[in-house]
Amino acid sequence: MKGHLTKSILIGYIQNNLNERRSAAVRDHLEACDLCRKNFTVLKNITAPSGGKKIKPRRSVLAGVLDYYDNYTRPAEPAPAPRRPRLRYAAIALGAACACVIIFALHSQLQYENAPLYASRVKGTVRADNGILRKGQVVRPGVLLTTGEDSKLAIMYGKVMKLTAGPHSRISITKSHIDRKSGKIHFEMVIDSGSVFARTGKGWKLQYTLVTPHGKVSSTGSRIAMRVEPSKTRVMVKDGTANIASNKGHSLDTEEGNGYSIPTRE
Amino acid sequence: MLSKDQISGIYRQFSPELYRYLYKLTRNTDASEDLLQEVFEKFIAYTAEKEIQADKHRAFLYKTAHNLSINYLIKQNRDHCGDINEMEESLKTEDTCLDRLMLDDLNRALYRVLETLDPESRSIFIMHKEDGMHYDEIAETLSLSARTVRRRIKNVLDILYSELKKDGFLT
Repeated sequence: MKGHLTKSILIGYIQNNLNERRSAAVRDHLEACDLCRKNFTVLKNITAPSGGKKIKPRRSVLAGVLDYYDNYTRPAEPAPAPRRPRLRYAAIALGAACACVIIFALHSQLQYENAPLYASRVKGTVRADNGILRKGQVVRPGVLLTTGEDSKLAIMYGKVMKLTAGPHSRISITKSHIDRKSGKIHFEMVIDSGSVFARTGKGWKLQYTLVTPHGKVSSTGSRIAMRVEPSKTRVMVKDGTANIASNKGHSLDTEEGNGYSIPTRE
Repeated sequence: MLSKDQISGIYRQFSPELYRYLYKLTRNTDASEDLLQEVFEKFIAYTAEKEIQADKHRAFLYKTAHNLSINYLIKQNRDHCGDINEMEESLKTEDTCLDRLMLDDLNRALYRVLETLDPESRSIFIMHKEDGMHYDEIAETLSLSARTVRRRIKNVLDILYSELKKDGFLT
């Protein structure tokens, strides 16, 4: 074989695509040519496993799978509807229509509309009150979310707001609604411990407040990283500004990119 | 429905190779663990409704992992949120030791090129490379023809060859 082996010949040889005569010629050439042998070795390495340190998933994954198994319930088959006298249908339909009208009238009068957050990511075991939080589950105000040692959580409201919590975090959502009049979306969460990252989408009328045992941080759209420790709350603000207020009544507007601490005593 | 012990057994048998496959594909430990958990959740839900023969478990798990990771990769490409992810990364401590896995220059370059390929080809190539699956096996797992799998891998090798030549790994 004259010259050097081309790309297609080498790939064909690696994939056992060449006929016997041609394969033998390539083999002979590889024995004689250092350059082609080097290329062949690199190509062989490309298709060989990378090796390196053995990696395996953490135990929390198996715990999560078994937990899912324990809580798995087959979708129930719809029960046959009980037979009722025909005359009742008219009364039920009339009642339902009246109820709809009343609900609609009340609803349109209400100032606030719910903006429910949902769990977009649940890693490991995350508790919602006393139950286990599942991915996709809606998290309404009043629920206490607790992440464990290896667990992590992300809750979000569409593209408007995303809050990620690290291990050992305790978060309760106190407010998540839309003001119908102003169109502003309000979120308020109490972070008792742990680390959280809050991120917001652009172009929304939004106000969110993160309350900690040491004070609170309010923003209309910046990104905030926060770690709540027993003696202080550490806050980092990116993209925009936020207002930090301590329980002692001191407050300041943050500068972008800076880190702040809210201590217990000032 | 399979018993809890059977699920544990299947998890212990297949999770290391599935996790390795997911990690090589996503390059992210957290995402790989999430996807692995989701694969087994789908397996539990499916086997609760229909029986899967024991010799088909691996193929089912791989196919589910392939589909889920493709969705994940497509979503990742669409959803560029670098900064917040960087901030999230600062929470992690366990990833630093895993970084040593990819110290080898060639593998680093290789995976850099692989990340530019379409998710499906990348997934097929990694099944072949990292898990040593033969064309027929991948074809059966993904319900493709062996010829398609061979062609896809050849295309990936073609691209890798050209790119690695530019980087000086090949002469």
